[in-house]
Amino acid sequence: MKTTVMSLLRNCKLQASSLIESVMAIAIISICISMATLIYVKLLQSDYEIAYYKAKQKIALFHLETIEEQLFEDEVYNFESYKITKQVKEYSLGVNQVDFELQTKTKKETQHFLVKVISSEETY
Amino acid sequence: MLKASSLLYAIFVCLIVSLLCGSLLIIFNYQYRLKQQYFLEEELVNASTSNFLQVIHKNDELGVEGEVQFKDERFKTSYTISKWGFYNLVKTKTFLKKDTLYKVALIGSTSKKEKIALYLSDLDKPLNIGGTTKIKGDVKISKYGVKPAYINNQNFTGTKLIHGAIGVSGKRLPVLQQFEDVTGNQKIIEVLLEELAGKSLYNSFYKPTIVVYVDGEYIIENISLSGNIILQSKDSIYIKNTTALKDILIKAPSVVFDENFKGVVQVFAKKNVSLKKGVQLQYPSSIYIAHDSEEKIEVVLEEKSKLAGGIVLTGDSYQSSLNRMVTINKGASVMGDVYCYGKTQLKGKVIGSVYTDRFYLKTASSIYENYIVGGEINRLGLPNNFIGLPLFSNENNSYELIKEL
Repeated sequence: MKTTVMSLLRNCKLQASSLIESVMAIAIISICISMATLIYVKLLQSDYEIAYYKAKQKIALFHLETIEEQLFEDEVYNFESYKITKQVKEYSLGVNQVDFELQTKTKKETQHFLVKVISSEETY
Repeated sequence: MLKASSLLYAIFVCLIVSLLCGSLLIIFNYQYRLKQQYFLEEELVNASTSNFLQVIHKNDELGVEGEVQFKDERFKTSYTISKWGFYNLVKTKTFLKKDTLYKVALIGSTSKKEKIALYLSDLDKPLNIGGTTKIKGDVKISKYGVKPAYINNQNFTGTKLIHGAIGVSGKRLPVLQQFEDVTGNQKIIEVLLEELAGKSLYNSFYKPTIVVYVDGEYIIENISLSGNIILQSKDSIYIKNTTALKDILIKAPSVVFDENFKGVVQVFAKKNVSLKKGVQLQYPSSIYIAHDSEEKIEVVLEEKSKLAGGIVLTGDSYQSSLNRMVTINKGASVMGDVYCYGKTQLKGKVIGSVYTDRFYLKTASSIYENYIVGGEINRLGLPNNFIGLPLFSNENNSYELIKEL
């Protein structure tokens, strides 16, 4: 058995690459991988930040709170990675305009809402 | 012999890496577009809600159709306002490119004017109150005022006759606004009820109204109708409790709801409407009869029956008002307004307001006029944001959302 394997190895000949060929191959592969890394990093950077999603979620929550608890006061909310500024103005009789401005490291955006004002005598 | 070809292998590795990069780019791009689409949809929902609020709060100023927009010019909302029974039906369509959001809702008006519990026409007779009767809220009654009554060996048991201010009423009830056009939809599709036997039918308010005709006296059972549908008959109809009716209109001279029926309907009748024991007509339901006749015109709510919305019984002539009567039996209740240009027999409960020409009480031994025994009118129990029937026009009304359909 042992002699059979040895004879097979003796028959198999592996041709060596030249030094230049090897250097070129390494160069091509390294360029290719660096380009791939560059693409990957660019993709990650161009996506929305996690802070942006968090801020959007928070605005939805503040909007609901404004409707349910009738909180019509200007406020600034500072969070670790984002900031939300709430501004309230009268839009028409019985309707207020509530603007939420979100600010992250890279994005700044304002969302506008109309909220019905329930007068104190209507609250049951 | 295995060949040493480093360059070939390098190109092969490059190919694999570029394929990976390509698929990564495609996946990222797809996900990015998906997120943008999601954010856009969120904005569309917000714009639709804001624009809808604009439409209902400018109801008086706006025509029957038009277009509104708020802040973001990308989102425009077109709307149409029509009638659905007593209430206004608002249909909005907010769109951006290929994305469209539809919204249909019933809106009603709330009056900022005085809110009274009872308006009793001044027919030169006092209001007599006996037994456990409770009237909570301001009232307008005859100049002869209110007196405790002693009927069937029973005295008035309460501490106060009226829990509110007492004013003087006029000779006639406040004038009702006209309710001629109960549906603004001109396009209709006619269907015979027989064709729908045992089936369930829903019709969107964006489609033409389906008028389901009932031929002759008919018992309606085992059918489900909801949405933009009018159930119409030239004769009386009896609605069994195996029927499911939601948001529809019923037009028939006489309508009887079977025991324990539950549904949301607006009834436009000519002669009689009867709610048998345990019937629940849920909000926003209503009964409307506007008819002059020498025959009796009556709305009867039997024991344990409930109606949330309102009842209107009216007509033109005083003579026929003597034949009109609303009877709210013991244990029955109405949440909303009761307007009766005629007699009201109140043994049950009204959480809301009562407008009537006179009260009526029939006991085993006699008939009494302007007597209430064991009834209750509680205007204070009605939530302030409750949207009742739009009874009177030219008031300082504001419109509110009743329900989305």
